[in-house]
Amino acid sequence: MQNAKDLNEIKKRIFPPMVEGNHTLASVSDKIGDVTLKKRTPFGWFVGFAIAFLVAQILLFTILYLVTKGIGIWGNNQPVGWAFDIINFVWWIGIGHAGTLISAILLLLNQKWRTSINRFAEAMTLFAVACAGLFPLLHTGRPWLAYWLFPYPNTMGMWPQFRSPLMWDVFAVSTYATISLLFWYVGLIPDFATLRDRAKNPYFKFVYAALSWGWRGSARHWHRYEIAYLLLAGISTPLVLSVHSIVSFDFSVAQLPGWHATIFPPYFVAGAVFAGFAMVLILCIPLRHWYRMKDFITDTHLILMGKVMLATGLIVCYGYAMEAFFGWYSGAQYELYMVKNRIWTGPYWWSYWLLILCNGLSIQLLWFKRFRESEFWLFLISIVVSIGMWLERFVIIVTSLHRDFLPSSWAMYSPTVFDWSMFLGTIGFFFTLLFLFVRFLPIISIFEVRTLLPEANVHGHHEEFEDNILMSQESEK
Amino acid sequence: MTNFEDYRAPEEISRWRTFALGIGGLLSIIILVIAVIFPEQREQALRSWLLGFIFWGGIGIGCLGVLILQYLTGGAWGVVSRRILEAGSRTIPILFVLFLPIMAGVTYAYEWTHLMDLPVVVHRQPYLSVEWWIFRAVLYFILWYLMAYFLNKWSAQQDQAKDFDQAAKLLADSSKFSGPTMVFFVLVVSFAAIDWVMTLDPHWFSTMYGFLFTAGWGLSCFCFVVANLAFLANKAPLNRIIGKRHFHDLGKLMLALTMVWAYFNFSQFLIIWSGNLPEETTWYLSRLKGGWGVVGAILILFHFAFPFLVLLTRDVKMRAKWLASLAVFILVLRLVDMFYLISPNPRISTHGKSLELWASFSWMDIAAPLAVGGIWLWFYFGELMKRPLVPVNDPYLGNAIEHGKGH
Repeated sequence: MQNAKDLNEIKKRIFPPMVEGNHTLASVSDKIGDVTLKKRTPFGWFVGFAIAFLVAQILLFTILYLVTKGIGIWGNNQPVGWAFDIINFVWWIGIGHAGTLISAILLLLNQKWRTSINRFAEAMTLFAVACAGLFPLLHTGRPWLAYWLFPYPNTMGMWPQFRSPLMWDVFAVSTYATISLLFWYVGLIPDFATLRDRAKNPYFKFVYAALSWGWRGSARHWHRYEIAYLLLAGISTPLVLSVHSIVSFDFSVAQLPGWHATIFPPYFVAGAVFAGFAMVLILCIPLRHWYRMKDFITDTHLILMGKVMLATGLIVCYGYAMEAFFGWYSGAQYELYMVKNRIWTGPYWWSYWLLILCNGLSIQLLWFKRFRESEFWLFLISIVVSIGMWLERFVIIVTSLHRDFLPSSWAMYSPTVFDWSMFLGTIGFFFTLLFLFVRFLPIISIFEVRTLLPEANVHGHHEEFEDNILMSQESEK
Repeated sequence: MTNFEDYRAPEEISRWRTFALGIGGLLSIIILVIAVIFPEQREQALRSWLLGFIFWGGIGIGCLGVLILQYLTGGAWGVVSRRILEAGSRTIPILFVLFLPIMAGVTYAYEWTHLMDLPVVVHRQPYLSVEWWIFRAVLYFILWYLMAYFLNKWSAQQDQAKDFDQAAKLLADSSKFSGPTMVFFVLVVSFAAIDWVMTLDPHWFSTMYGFLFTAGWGLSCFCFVVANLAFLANKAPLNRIIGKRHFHDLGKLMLALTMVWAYFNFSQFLIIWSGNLPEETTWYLSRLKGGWGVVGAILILFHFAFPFLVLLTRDVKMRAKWLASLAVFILVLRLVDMFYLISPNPRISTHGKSLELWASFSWMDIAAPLAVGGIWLWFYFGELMKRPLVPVNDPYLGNAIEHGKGH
């Protein structure tokens, strides 16, 4: 028979706690709710917000200039008719995928560790999708006519091309944005009610009350809530796959070597989750420091996210390997040239090797516990991966297009200052929204973290678990 | 010490063994004799044998993959199905024996071995030569064997563990080993699928091919595990261990892999159809005409749509018998899927033409899977009986049993 201390040790070892410290139901609400309600806004927040907001102004100026002058201000030309606009669109939309994966798939898989990171991961998804949406919207040149993208009976007698994946993008991304918003909002309702009940400031109280839709937390409310949440998770799950698969079809249904590969859909999806987890880590490592949330976003969370990043990154590397192998195996003239041009003879060879360095080599560090457990290394690797995933789209789009079938049309691509300012501006816009979110909404789901506490599991696994351990120990004797 | 006798597989399995060996052995001899005596039957015999091998081999190799997977993900389903997965993974040696006829007859089964001056085959020489092909096949089996060997060794040691710490350490070792091993496993499966099935068509290629088999073999394995567990669940010792929720979880995984299988296949089809390039579309063209389109439609309806809809309901996933019936149904469709991948490929005897469905169908397409299956199952059941049916000292066992009882 083992004594109680040993049992606790064993329990901790095989089921690491997802909430550390001695928290109670009330202290969880205090700790998370006070960030928005009680604590004075930290000075650092104002500095960060100001910088992000200033950078976001660059976006506004670029858009203004773009709308007055037309998209000729971008560096797109023949043969690279698509470049920064689609690279940035794909980059942003990919980042969003981690939020959906965490909120939907990990919920269905009963992964408890999603609970304290889902809220801001979902917020990140929404803001990333908002940034992504700007690019296709503005690349039309006349964004006020963007509704032409939707199939509706019109006097012009025109319909969009249903065989084009760009058309499917419109459906996929708008569905994605809608469902993500709903999921996020539905998850926030009980927390809005908590904030409403605790807010002292009458204006805040009024706003949170309106947002919580009269939530009283009755058993009936919870019952319906749980069903709705599970259904939304079920609906979101295919979206994790569908959105980025359709984005990959934008390229792969074409005949261009470097784009036309059957591996594209799963490889893009894995890349999206990979980039998304990198961004979640970039955001949550500083957040847990500044707002002292280490009890909720524990080291275990970071380690697990590091593992997901490693796994998805390896799938992406598998994609690179298969593309190169089959490029050679095919024996087709254009495919062979594409591989050669991309890897060593072309003028963009450096972008490919940088990509391998960022996405392939850097993540190999995550095999080692030492790096997974270090905040510094995780943060650094995440930044490198974010850059790598941007480069991946650059390699796919620019190096495949710049030397296509006709050597007479070959040309280099160079982005203009407006390409850069638009990209930089969306980063500012993204962080502006994030700073506002951190200030006004609970960054961690209060009610879900409460369910992780021991007192939330009255008939919890704890006693049963001890019984089982004791039983198995006794039966051995 | 734990009394291992309490956890032995039920005796009636040995009756199944004899039966399996009888059928498998008899049919194998018939097919081998035909292949040796009648040269004009040789290609068909080998192709049918390959069909059987890829189907049953997929289950055995799939068991190895899922064994690695469950060490990485954890979860109650992995603890209760581990011994079945281990037994499946220990069939690698018999799979090698079953592969020998194909290796011996490579020049009768693969058209590219006769097209050594075709430009594209010349280009592929560094990869696609008979010696290399055989070397790689042996290498794949060695790698699989090593993966299975270590995981099985540590798991057997865990049964003998003296205390909790030792058992936990062995589990941790297996989990650590499984991380990098997964990478190699997926690569080996991908290239094995390319070598053994994709090159049946000397021209065609698809970057998705490795994933198609990784997911397909994974699905085969889960169906096989569910069928096994349902059969064992109401007999001692597993009746004390297996619960509704284990089936529920395994059912969810079956659902997920059914969807992934459809997703991969659909993506591949859509991309090739849209691109409409001559070197790629031929593969689908020969699978759409001459009766093959019907097989394709059957696959869409019964390999995807029907199991997908049925598996959405909770009741089916919770009830062992229903889930196992569906698992066997999917396994039959897995065989049809392999038939669809293997049989329409160009043949040597027709000088590279694909045959129509009925012209390509032979009685050996049924006999050979039965022959391979009989021998494989005989070996598998033997392995299953060697060890307790659950990892008795696993630190998570108690929790896994409790999980199964939940609602």
